[in-house]
Amino acid sequence: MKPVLEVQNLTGGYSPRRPVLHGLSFEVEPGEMVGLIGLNGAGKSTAIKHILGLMQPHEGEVRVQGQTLDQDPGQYRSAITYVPETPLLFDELTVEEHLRLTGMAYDVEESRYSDRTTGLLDDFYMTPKRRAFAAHLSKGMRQKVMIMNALLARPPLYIIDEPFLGLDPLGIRSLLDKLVEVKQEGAAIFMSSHILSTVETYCDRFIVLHHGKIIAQGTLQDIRSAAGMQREQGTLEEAFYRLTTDGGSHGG
Amino acid sequence: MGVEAIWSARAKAFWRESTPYLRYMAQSGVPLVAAMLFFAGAGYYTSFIHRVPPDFPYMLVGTLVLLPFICWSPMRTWLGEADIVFLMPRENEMGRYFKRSFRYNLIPGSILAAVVFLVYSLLYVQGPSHLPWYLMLVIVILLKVLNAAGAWRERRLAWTYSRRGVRLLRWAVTTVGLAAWLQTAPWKAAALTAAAAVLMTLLYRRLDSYRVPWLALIREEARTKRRYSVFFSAFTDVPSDSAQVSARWYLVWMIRWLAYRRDHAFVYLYAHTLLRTELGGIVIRLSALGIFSGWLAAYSGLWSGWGAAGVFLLFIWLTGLQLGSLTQSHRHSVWRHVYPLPEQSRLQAVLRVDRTASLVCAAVLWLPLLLLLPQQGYFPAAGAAAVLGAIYIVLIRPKGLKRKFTADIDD
Repeated sequence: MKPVLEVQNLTGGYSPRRPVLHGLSFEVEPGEMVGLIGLNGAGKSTAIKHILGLMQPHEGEVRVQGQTLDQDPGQYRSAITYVPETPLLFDELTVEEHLRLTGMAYDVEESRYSDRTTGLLDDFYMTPKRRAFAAHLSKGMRQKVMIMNALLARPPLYIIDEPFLGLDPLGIRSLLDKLVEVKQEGAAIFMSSHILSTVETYCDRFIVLHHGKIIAQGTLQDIRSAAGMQREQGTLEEAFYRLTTDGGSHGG
Repeated sequence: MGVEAIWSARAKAFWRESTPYLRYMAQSGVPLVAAMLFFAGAGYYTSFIHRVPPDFPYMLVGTLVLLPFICWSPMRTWLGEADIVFLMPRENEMGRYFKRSFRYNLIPGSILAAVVFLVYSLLYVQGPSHLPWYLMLVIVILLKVLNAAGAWRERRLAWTYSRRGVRLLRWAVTTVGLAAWLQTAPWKAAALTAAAAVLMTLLYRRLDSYRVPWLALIREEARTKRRYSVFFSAFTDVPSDSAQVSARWYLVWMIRWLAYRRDHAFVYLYAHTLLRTELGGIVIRLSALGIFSGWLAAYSGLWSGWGAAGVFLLFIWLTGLQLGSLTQSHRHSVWRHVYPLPEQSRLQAVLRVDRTASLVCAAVLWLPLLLLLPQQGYFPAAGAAAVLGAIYIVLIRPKGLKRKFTADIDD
């Protein structure tokens, strides 16, 4: 199957003289959820910005559905929705108006837009807040607006950065249910998070980023092996702990 | 650092940051236009004083002119969100801090009220007043001080509805008091003012209040800062925080006419930006002022109707100057890059929203000319104004906006 997201030998960062990411290579297939994990400052958000095309790679390339951003900006961008770590809302739009804007921007058919909006507002318990402005929403509610917008467009690839921050337990459950649903429909999900127990339960594969390098990637078993743990023993959290606190042998 | 030193440092920092913008404003030609308007107004006023009609409503005009300058009592406190952590623990010392704020606003406010009264006093001395003008000047300043004190007590009130209600009451009571001073015997006006002051004080004491209304003051300060930045952004690029938003459902319903289509996405966004942010508020107020000035000029048939045409074109230019800041909106938004929409569609959206808004403003600004000039036989002036306005909006403005938009992206 052709991967939705292909990152090949990506080196990048804010300054060409001081790269933050060093030679990242990985793929995300359709119908797959991949978890990106790493300590604070490991380069997770920078990697996401490169995938979104917000930053220029120093070396290597990123392909979405086989195309780079330069080859076909329209197709590249239409294929991705993004949930940022910090909710980025327009102050002048209500919850419902954000959804309408996203529906227009991603060319979601109007009848589908109406059905999906009603469903999403219900699923995330936001129907009573549909006419509220960002300033009148709690942090968790703002995060829900971001998530609803991403889910409205139904793209082939979801890029989700720390989605659980500020979400209440019901919101986390709704999000995970929806992600499973879109995954079963064939979408690819690339998600960074610190909540390792949830990542372990829901993701098919994992990428461990440390000091801007991939120090392990693959299934839970692959990560355990990279951490020197026995087969079928131990959690992702334990493997992650061993990988990132071993005295810096992994590029520290 | 003492709280008074913090106050001084913040006030200095604000003015240091604002000075370059004041320079840009000075270079923009706005002061020149303001000076021209001032001299034209002064000339008109001087000639009016010599031929005041016998039935001139002195009390009504005096009250309307003086009231906003007496009642409106803004307050700069320079407080920000972080002060909940850093200054709130020093709440006991904050009396001295707020005293500085109080003085900072009250002194220029009183001077402004006094100047407005002195200008009005040329009419006042011809009216039915009982007090000599210099005593009335003292009364104006006294009313200003009472209002500033009342405004501070309102800021401390715990509930929004009581704050709004009491503010409305203060404006109403001041209106009656001021009218009394302008028309009736001084002892009656004095008794009324004293009784009102006592009753208002009792009312303020009776309502739930905060010792220091931190959140209300932080909100007010943020609002004031945003107004400055929106104003300055008409002349140059101003880095600004998040926008102040008003729902304005009475205007926003119009956006529903916009069809649900991909190429309308940015138009949808920018139309909301215009109608809901402080920019919309400024354009609405400016248009209202323009209608009023145009009506005055058209009503008096100034320069055979060409005066009204000039006022019309001036206000189209002024509203356009403000609308131009739309090019700066959302240019740092991450969604500009994430949405699958070409950058060109953002420029097209800005141009379309600007053109529609400019034409709507022009239409309402032209109303007084349409209603008042033809009946006096000055149709050419009204017609020429409409044609010139349309040429400016449809042909000249888009070029400037495109340049500004491209320059902003290059930054």
